[in-house]
Amino acid sequence: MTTVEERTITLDCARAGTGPATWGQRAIWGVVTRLGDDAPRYTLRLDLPLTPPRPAARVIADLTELLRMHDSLHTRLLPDGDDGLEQVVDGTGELAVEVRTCPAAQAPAVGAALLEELAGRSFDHARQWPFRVGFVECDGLVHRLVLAASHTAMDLWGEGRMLRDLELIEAGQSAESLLQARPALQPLEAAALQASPLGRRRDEGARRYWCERLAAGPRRLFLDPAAPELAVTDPGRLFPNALLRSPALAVAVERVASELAVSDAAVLLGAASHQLANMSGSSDVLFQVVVSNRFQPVAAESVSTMAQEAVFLLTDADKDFKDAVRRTRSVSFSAFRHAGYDKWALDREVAQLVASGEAADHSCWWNDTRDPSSGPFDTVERPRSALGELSGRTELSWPTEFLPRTNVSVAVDVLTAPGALDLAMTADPAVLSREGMEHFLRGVETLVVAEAITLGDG
Amino acid sequence: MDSSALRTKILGLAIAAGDGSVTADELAGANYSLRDVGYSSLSYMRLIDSIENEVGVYLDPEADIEHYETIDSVTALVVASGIGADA
Repeated sequence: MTTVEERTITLDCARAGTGPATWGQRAIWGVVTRLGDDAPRYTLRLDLPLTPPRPAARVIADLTELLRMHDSLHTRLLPDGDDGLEQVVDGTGELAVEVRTCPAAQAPAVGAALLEELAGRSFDHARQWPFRVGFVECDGLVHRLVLAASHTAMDLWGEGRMLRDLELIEAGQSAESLLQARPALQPLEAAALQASPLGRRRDEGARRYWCERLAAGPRRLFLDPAAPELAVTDPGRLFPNALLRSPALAVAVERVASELAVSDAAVLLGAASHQLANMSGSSDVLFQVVVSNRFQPVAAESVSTMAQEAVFLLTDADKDFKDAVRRTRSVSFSAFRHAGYDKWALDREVAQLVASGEAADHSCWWNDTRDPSSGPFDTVERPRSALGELSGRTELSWPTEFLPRTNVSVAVDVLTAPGALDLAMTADPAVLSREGMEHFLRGVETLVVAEAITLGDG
Repeated sequence: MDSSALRTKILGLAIAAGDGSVTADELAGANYSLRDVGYSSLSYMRLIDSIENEVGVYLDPEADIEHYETIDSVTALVVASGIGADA
């Protein structure tokens, strides 16, 4: 039997303050506010088994320390006029902990249900902290820690930092010692930088770069879409999601990157651009690329929402694979330098370009979610097989389908898997069929693996 | 700042942007070639960022990618922007 009770995390004398919201907070707050009851699909979810199980008082103390370390976990966001958003960092306050008590054997199922309960409700960002906590307790100890965080509090990179810091706190470190060793940019500090003359100049430069690339890019990427009539006849059509898991790609991408003196991220984006150009019929391709915006060490340590989209325009992407990859490196540098901006202001400018027919097709998305600090062979032995043989181990699956997404024709995520790289693709069936999706994913893999084999390791 | 001081400044920024991945000795041993010491894309991004923040020069990585190979070529790029020319 499962019983329900509540505990409380009490924060006292933590950092506090008020200021304008950061670009990242404004961008995500705008999205989740527009989504309303559908906002929970952006909520970050964690269901963590505690091994060994720990006393509730200890877990509460650790989480209190985590809140003291990262302001975003106790920050509220309040609208301020038509174009303003204010962040309020509360130095004191309480966070309820939802507790479910059950036999140990049921803990995983109870934890999963509790996570759905915590993450399934929208956050009231003006009144609540963007963080919810649940415990699954068995025989007087916490067996599972369940966390749900609004995307306004952190992005995926921030979530990774939060988890690492929580583990360090559990191991005995304090917020103070951790911040002293590795200072982390807090959202109020980031907002102050963004409001400075340098920040304003960067914002204006980034938006100018965006609009110039949009004006220069192709108006239509897919010149021969799969089923354009669906856009009219079936507005509720589901978008298939394909997952290519490739051990060969994980090995080959490193070799090609080394040979071409670029990052493996550039190899993958260059390959995707080349493949997209050849499939779509448009020589020039444009991706919205999700960028972590964590180039400086203090930003890399930040638990907050900093990721934004860069506009990546690669001309003549269909001509030559290696040339596309080499140019991807330099174009990415430039695009990534212009990935921090006031999203609300950019949206207004892009809307004007769209209305006047001057905007490129910007419905293709690329999100390389990999953390440079963890690779596919950290926990799995690197395969010794030849690449040609490894290619036979590639798996393609169709895990799910998604509801239609605004201004998305193709969205590709790159993920690290044990011993492999994952390419996860979602596409509008009006633009690309399932066969087309498979052709794209296998095409990207083939480009990189074939190049690695050509380099002499088959 | 003369070009020698600017070069010293950029060398320091490059080492800091490497975030522990490269030392002054390693760079000197590689004739100050960032490429030869395996300078990562992330480090390049940090370096360009740092030069804008601390030297006040915005470098366009897309237009000038070939100028990012060595400490001297990066220094020359900054000098070309009008900063650090010898009096």
